[in-house]
Amino acid sequence: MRVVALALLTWIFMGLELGLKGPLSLGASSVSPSFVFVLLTYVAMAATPRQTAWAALALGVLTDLTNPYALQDRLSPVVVVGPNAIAFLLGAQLVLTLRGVMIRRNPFTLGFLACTGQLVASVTLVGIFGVRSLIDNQHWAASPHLWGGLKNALYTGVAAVPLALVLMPLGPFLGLPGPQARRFARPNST
Amino acid sequence: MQTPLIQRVLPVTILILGALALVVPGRYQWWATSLGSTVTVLVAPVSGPVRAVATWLGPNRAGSSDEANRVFEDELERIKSELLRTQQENDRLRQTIRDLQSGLALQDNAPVRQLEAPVIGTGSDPGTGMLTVRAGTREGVNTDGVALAPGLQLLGRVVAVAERTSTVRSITAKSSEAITAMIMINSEVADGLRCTLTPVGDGTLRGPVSDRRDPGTNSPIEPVAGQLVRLDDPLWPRSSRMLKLGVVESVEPSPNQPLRRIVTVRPTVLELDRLSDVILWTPLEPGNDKAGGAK
Repeated sequence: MRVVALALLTWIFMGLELGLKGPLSLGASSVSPSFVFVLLTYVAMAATPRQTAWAALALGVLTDLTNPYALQDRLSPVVVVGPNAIAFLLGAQLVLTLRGVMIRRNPFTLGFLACTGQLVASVTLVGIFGVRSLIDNQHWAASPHLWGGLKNALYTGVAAVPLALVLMPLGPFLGLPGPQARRFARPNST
Repeated sequence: MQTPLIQRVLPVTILILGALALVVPGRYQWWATSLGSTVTVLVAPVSGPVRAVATWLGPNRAGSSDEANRVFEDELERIKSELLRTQQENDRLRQTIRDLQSGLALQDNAPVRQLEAPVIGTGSDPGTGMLTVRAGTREGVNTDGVALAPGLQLLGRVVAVAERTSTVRSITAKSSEAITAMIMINSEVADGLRCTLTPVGDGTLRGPVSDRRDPGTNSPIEPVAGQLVRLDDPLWPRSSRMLKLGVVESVEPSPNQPLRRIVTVRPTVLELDRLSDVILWTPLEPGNDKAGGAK
């Protein structure tokens, strides 16, 4: 996998994530798609487990850094490094497990995997912040965040389908095996 | 072939991140705030234009009819809130002079600097109501500032400032604290019903209204849907007092005290979190404007 190419795509997808979260959120709710997780899902569909783990940690840390949280006893928000990194790592592990039984060429595969992976990441995130509420003075209720996480996952899955049409041709650019690469392909006759 | 040392880097990184995620309190991760600000600035060339285009295409276009009208309406609202603030300040000063009867130095209305700044990001969880704005200490922004939407609608408070960016917490964000406000029963004078409004999470604010009676008839003065609500909170910067919070959307009896009323207030600009540009209102002399400043 080409690290520079992934960094460039990360820059673009982080920009989309930060710029479109608000405008694309449904009504007054906080339900919105995660572009960064779609990119991670695409990487996890084709890269090695080690490369996927590093990509998950890096994208998770970037998400953590750009996502300040409000504490009850502080006016200024705090940035906590780690929750999204661990959540993305677990979500990516699910994608790694499921990718073997998926048709990678189908854009809906990216949608389905992004949705399920994001769901696992959301549940992990709720668990982590549940633990954090013991050490940080933070107003935290698990149920609304679990519901929100489910809706976010569905929305991410829907958003991933059109994004698949953009990401799939970029496989060679990222140094990832494209969907046309077959394990038992016919040898080239020329 | 990877050496054993390189192979151990990944599990060690996961352990460190796990410890930071689960054990280290947020206040000890202060170093991450500046890193986050740097990342936000780095992705701003993508996030800023994308947000501006999405907002332009979206249904929540700011501005009523045309640019000239908008400027005129903004100016009118600014003068109105300034007049009300001055009236309120005069009342306060009269009271202070009566109380002290001395030549104590009294503060005038602090002058403010207005700066239009693009919104370059929303937190990953929009429910937290955090907006990242491309203007920071270099532009003179500080934590005494407030952010306004078009029409001088109060958007939120500046809660953190880095060199090039600042973070605004929206008044409608569920994580925001309760706000003391005034329901204007007369638009010309700073007089009305006080209420304490708490964000509901659906873009509105809700809270009980204080009991007030007409001195002539002794009947209670009731809030009415459509009345303007303005900020009147001593914990907010003084320069932000009497700024527009929204209009009363509904009035209902309090479930615990049937004689008291609960109002739901909706900002005049829908979906504050989706704006592409905000106006930052920063007092020129921060020390004079300190109220319930950042901790």
